[in-house]
Amino acid sequence: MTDAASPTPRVGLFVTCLVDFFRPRVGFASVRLLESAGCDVEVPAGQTCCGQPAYNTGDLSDTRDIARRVIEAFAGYDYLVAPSGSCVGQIRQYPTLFDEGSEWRRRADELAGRSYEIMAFINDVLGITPPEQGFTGRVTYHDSCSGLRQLGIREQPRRLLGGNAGLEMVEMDERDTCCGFGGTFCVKYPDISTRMVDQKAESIERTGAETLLGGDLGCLMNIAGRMHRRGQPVKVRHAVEVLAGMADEPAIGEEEQ
Amino acid sequence: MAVSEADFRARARKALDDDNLQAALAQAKGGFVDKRADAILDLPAFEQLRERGRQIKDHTLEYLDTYLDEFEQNLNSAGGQLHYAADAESAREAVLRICREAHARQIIKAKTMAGEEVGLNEALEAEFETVESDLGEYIIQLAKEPPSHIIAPAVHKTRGEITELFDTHHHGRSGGPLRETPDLVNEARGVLREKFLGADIGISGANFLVADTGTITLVTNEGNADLSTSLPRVHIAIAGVEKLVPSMQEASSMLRLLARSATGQQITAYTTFITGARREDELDGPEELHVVLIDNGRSRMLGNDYREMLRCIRCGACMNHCPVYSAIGGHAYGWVYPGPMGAVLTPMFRGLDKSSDLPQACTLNGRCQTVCPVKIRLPHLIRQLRDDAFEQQITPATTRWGIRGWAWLARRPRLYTAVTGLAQRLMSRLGRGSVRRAPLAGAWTAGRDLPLPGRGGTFQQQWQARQRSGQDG
Amino acid sequence: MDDRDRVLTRIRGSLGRTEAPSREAARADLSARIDDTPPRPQWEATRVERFTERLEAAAGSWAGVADREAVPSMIAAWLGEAGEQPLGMAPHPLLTGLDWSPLTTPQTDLDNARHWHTAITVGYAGIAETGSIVLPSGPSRPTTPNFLPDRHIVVLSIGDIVDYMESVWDRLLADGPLPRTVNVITGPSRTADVEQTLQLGAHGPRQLHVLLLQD
Repeated sequence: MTDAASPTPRVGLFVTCLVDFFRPRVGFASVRLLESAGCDVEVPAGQTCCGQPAYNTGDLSDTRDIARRVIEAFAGYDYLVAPSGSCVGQIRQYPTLFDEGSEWRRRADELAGRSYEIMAFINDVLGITPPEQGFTGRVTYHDSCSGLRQLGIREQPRRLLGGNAGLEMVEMDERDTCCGFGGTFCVKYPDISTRMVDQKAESIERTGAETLLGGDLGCLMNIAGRMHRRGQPVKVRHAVEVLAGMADEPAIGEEEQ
Repeated sequence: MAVSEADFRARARKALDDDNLQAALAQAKGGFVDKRADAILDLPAFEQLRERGRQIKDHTLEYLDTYLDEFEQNLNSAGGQLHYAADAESAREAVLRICREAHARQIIKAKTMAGEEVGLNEALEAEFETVESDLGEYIIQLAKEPPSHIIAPAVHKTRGEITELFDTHHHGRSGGPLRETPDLVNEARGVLREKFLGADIGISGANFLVADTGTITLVTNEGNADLSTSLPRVHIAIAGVEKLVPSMQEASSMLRLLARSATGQQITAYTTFITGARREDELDGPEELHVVLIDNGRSRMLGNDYREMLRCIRCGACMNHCPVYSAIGGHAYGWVYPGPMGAVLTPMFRGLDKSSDLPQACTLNGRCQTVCPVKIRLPHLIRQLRDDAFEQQITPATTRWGIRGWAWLARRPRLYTAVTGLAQRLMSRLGRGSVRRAPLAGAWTAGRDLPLPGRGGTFQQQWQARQRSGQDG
Repeated sequence: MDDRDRVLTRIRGSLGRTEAPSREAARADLSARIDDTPPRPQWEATRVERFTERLEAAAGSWAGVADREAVPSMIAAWLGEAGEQPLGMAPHPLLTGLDWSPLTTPQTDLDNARHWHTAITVGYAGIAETGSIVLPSGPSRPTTPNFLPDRHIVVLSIGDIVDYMESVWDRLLADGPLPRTVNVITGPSRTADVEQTLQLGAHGPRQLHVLLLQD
């Protein structure tokens, strides 16, 4: 913690471009979850995207410009927290964009050190288990690769979700395997991506779960879209929707009531 | 083999539609992953061993000139001869020259990826009867195909296809009943036994080269490398300059990593250490030993941002754990090194402009790095190749300008919020829930429905509205 | 400039120098990077138990033999009916000095080795870590019998079993340069190249049998 003495951590929520556009309720769930965990939450103005599409396309100069904006926007907060392992993984890469010893490098390092994926933040930094939300049903969990391998997030979401006594967690086979989203990969190589997500959909089917949860909207939209195409009736949600007690609204790709 | 890196997408499509290939890949995938996982249970300090492997290779690369000199001296004093080859052509020439001088007629080959890399087989087959002895290599040699996996070259072949190949080539018949695995293996054993005994020259690769003893290390499970390198008069080993390790002590550590990572064994059935040619008091063994060390782009990698790729010990764990490889198999990668290692090595050896798809066709999921026995940061190197491709304008102009345009917008938050707000409004009106088709989303909807956003506006719009009305989130 | 000079010059160029550092400098860097003891498997069983357990796991078989005079009868028993097939052995004093009367004396002429059904050799060492047999080449240990016959029988003194491969190098290098070839053999020959199905007896022996000789 940057300021362990602070009684109320001041959190800047990094919404992520996908949540902003496709599923705002994940943003509101994040706010609710963080506030109920005792944080003072703000949504810093000036944020758009973490720059990952540019970074992974090799456009370093634009990535650098976007990184500077994020660094500026989140200056002064105790923490940057995002409902995405992928975006936080990217923000933790910011230091590599700047020359060692430069002021921007220092600021990027500093931001990287206080940036967290939301469930890892609640579990590891705050050490809190959110209250029971009365969620019931058979659930399986998709570990996004960036969360899993860049940030080491595996047990945290399961621990937090375990606060719901009626939630039965069934692990899928090949749970370490990528779902085929991969950012722009899924539209650059749709044939390969479709095969990969098909295999993921089959793993999910074998669990018999009614709900798929995860921590990254990109993967979840990819899997939800494929399962919808296959006619596979599994509800797909971001895990914070469950943790914040907002899982009664339509799941990803479901019709609004 | 013909180099055809350019047709990656077409080959991937073909691979996805090939039912035999898909069946073979499905069968292979779990096996490699599970066997490796089981094999490291016996060695709880496997992570420390990986770090040791990384250090040994980094160290050897840093002192490569020292170790090459040492290797040469020790090889010479053991009666072996060293030949350097600056490029693929020179490597082929060196091997052909040795074969001609030995008046060779028949050549038996054990599997060598370095040989594949320099196109050795075509060169040899033009002049000599050349037979592959690794069963997988033999199968694909009959099929006139390149390997699709570095340690299981015929992993893409089903038993039915192998039956057909053997029937055709060994018996001149076709359409016979499907044969059992023991029967096929036995038949190949019989056919190849004569080839081992009749060969003048045996050609192998090398898994490691040991500097302070001048030793070549070879691992196989079939025993084919041993027969290839002990029965013929002349043994030629071909290897990249990066195969050096300082001493037998380090070779022992590297072998623990290699067997576990490659086939999930604690050690291969045959691990062989060859130091020089037949000694005066010996009853068997080759009279000549030649080692052909190839550069072929390695010295350049040693001095650029891709040096760590030279740590690679060619175990294949990266491809065994790669979801893209397991969807499309090895041939789609278009050259001898498939999977994540190929996504780095092919651009290095053949040119990024000729293999521009390979570093792009990766989800950067990072699983390969977690299993790499020498901790090569494969996703980092693959992403770095994308930097190079962008910089050198190899990345297609539409992609470059698309990203630049999007980044231009992302740097202007007010405009971004307005534009995304409008786009979201339009998109949310395409339907309810999900749609099967949407403007500009053809690549997404080819295999997936598109989940639509709800109709309440973007998070930013809703948040700002709430802030204005003093509502709580 | 020949290829040797060209390659070495490029390598030195990439490493930013014109001359190779000394061996001593290299060794100093290596010992700064790694410990003396590598991470290796550990076990609770005795060395011999570990050896036989690993050998069996690699599809090898073994039997204890009280003294060397019992070797021929042990072999005859193990071979059973197959014992009628041509039998060969390495010209090792431990073997050539034995009374083979339960069998016909095994051949030692390597020109016939391709016809041997079974070969008998003498192990230089065993490795407990992996259940491996170590066969360094030399006048009494030709290489061919290790690979050509269908069955391979290795006589190994229990006292020659070491824990790890590294000890074998220490022992061999104490006697001078390494032999032309050192075969570390772990179980019979195998392949998984047909549909990833394990099949024993690809090119080398189909069976590996170890006679563990009490000292």
